[in-house]
Amino acid sequence: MKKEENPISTQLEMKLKELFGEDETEAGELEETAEPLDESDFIVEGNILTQLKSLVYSIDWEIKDAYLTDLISEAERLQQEFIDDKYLQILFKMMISITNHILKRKAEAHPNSIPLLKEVYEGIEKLVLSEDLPEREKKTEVSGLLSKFNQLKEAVKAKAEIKIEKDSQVLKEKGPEITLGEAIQEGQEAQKKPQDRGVSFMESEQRFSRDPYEVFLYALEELKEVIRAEMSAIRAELRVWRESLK
Amino acid sequence: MAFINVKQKLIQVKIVYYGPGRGGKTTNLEYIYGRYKGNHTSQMISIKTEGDRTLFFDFLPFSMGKIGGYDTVIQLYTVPGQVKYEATRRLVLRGVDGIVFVADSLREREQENIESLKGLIENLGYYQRDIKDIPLVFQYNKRDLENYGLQLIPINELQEQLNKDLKAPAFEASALKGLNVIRTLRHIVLATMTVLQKELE
Repeated sequence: MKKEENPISTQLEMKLKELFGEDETEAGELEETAEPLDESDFIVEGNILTQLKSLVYSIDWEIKDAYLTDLISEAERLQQEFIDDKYLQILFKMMISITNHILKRKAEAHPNSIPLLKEVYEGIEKLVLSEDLPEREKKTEVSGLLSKFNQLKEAVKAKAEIKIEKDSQVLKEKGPEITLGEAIQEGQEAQKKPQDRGVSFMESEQRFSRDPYEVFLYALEELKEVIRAEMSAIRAELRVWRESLK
Repeated sequence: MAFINVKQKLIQVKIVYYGPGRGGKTTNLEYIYGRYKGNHTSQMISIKTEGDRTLFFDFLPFSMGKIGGYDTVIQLYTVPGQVKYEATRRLVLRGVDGIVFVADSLREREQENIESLKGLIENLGYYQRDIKDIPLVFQYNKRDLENYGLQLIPINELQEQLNKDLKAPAFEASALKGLNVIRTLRHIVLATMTVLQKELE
């Protein structure tokens, strides 16, 4: 009986041949069919975000302290690199905050934190690599990510509230949701003293090293502060910009 | 499982190259990357540290264009072969659609092959998946080393050690020289897509 041909298999066969060529030599007839590839062929896009991208993808697959700390360092380095770009400043801050959350919770980090980290990276990539991106689009991009960030923050907080009933006094202090406008206004201080915030975060880690939940709560508060401060600066800038238009 | 978006007519297939450390998984992907004649919409990502070994993973996505009316993207992954990276290997296997087991033909790597296959079966078990239900291809790599006077495990012995029960398709190969690399890829892609096609029906 004649075997029925599968049209999908045929299409696949043809496509694979088209993409990769014919079979190599038969076994036993070894020939050098390809030049050894240069290491540089495998470096991800040779731009300023190369390292950041690799680290974000790394974390997508393995939550490892070394990658997380490297990611924070790289984000901080780029933050300084793009010091005059208010939108990128927000995105880098978000990235650092989310990474800090993952660093503390590791496999128990909120399931949306890693996808959001990737989205924030994509936002950064869009802003950095699309030189002529209109201001309005930049704002929409950052605003959308900020909204997701707020949702994540609330979700993390809600989870923490359920887990730590004994700390209810602290947990009930539910901060207001950060809007893009508020964040822009409050970011001014953050831009002035980025190093100070870093130190206080580290100190908080030592201070609360006994109880991971406390550390997490403190991290949340820090995160909120960082975002508020960061946004206030941008809001102030926007206000100046609006006034200049009048 | 593969990402299938029926509305947008999009399929993403995940194929993992698994095997012991220094077995040639990354070399397979490098060769495939070099041979790819389509448009590179996304470059290969390879993270190498500590003496050029893959401690994390390699990721190579490539588009197959429209297959059966679906935009088809094949995503190739490797895992770090070193014993200590069990957690990563397990993570990379999440949602795998097809597996290429790259065995090292060197006699001295015999035990590592067996341990790695055992680890693969265990790691799939973590996701309640049976290796027999997943498209699988064996690749016995480094066959070219025989020419350099190195002792290799004969193919029939490798088959006995690794593939006796599974009876999966197997190819001898030299990832470094490009022997049967594309053939292995072609086989796993076809096998995987056939399974997915059945699922779609």
